[in-house]
Amino acid sequence: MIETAESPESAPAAPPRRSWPGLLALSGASLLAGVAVTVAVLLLAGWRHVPVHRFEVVLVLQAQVSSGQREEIVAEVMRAMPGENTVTLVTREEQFEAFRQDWESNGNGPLPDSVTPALSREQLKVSVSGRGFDCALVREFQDRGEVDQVSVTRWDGGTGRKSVMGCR
Amino acid sequence: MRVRPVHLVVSGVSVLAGVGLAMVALLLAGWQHVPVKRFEVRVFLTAEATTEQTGDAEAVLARVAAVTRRTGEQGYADLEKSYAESGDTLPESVTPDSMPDALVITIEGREIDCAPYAALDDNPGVDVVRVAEFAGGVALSATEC
Repeated sequence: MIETAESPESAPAAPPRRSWPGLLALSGASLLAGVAVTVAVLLLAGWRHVPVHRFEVVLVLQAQVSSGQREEIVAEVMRAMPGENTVTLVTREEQFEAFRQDWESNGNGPLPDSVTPALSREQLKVSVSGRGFDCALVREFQDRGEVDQVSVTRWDGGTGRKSVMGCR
Repeated sequence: MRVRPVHLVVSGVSVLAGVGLAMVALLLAGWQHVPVKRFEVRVFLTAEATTEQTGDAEAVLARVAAVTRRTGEQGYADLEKSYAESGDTLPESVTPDSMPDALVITIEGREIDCAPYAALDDNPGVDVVRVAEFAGGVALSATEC
């Protein structure tokens, strides 16, 4: 007897039905799981959002610095600091006036006559933005004879809190 | 529902895509590894601070960590040591007499949190609260709360 039709037992299995909505749902859920696991692992490993801070670098110049030396330092500062920067010169008179206002606002009364603008030093100020500050950027200026002192102040991008950095 | 190979492949590729997307997004948003650092919180007292005011300030700090009292002389020695460790010398204007008494705690964390010390703002015996961040014994920064 010749079989003209396959019996149900011997029939090949039907090809699996492609369930695109199901695959999409699976893909979406897996993607979200991947994101969640990544965030969780990074948080546990100590990763955090670091805001962009503002750093103000102040170079206090020696009293006998010539204008030529000052221009040279300004050019070097602009070259050393990252990003587009403007170096601001604070003259002795401006520095003296700021000191006087600070002195008087702290309730110290009038400034003694012995304190004059001649005692103040010129300053160069430059602001830099970033998530961190590399103190190596200012180290070369700390070693220069024309520079008396270098300070770096950070204004926290998140809290606005002011910190004096120990770049020594 | 039967798990077929295609399900595993789709799921695996999607998980990897999720990991990649999350990494790129977080890096672009400014996420970085922030190490655990040592912070020293130093509460400088005024010269007129009473015993009660000092006790109140100490109680606020004691909620965070064990408190150590440092006299002006001890504070001067601490500062001198800190400067020496960073290869520097103290400015001449700083003397043992110019250093006020202080209450000190040492904590560890990833960032400075001034919230626990907000109660000290109302204490007239407290001059200033200063948080120093240390790495390897060297002070990296000083922040006033």
